[in-house]
Amino acid sequence: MDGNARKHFKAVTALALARLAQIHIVQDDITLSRAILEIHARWQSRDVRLKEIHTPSGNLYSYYVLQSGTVLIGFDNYPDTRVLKAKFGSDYRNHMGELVPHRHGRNKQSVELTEEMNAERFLDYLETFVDLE
Amino acid sequence: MSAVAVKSDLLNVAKKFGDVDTVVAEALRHYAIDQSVERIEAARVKIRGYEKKYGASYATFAHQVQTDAKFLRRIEAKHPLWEEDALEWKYRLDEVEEWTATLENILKR
Repeated sequence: MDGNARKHFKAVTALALARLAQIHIVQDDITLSRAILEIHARWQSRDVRLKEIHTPSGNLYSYYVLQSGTVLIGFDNYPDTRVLKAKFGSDYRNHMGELVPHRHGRNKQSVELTEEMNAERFLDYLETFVDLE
Repeated sequence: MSAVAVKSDLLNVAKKFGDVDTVVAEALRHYAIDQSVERIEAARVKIRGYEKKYGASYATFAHQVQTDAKFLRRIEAKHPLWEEDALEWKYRLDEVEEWTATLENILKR
């Protein structure tokens, strides 16, 4: 965990520094068995929030873009009732706690299942996503 | 038993307190206890903050967001970035458990 997470967080931080503005590293803590990275930044006129957690039982993330406190787009893999039902249907209660990668639309009015996201793909996505107004 | 390089001036100070192996081992033990306690306390502060913000324990909150669509809508309206809190909330609970186990192991020795 230690070496890999350190290398990964260094890469994510370098990416953020290269592609975002007003970078604030809120937390960057790595131990032998767990690691957490949280970065707040600006992209164009929007707020960007990146959070990654690495543990032996899995990696969690949330990558969000906001404007004046309103979510424009967001990716995370924390399970909620909508995404569990979308992925597992009526059997969703047997899958509670399982990580489910998904994307939220504007003001979180829509949600769709996605592939696993990472910081690099999220930042690539930002560059190509023009419908944020 | 492992060998660790220690600066000679520090080693000379350690020798003033007695057998150097015992002093270094005890110092390391104290350091590990302090670090574990510090980690546990910091994590607990975060956990208390989340419990206050969401008015529930993590277990209750996690269960409700995964089973209750009305609860989820209410949380989402008030805290649109609740997911980034929830994932850290669980992380801090696991962290308390892990460092408490570490601390107990040290204290048993």
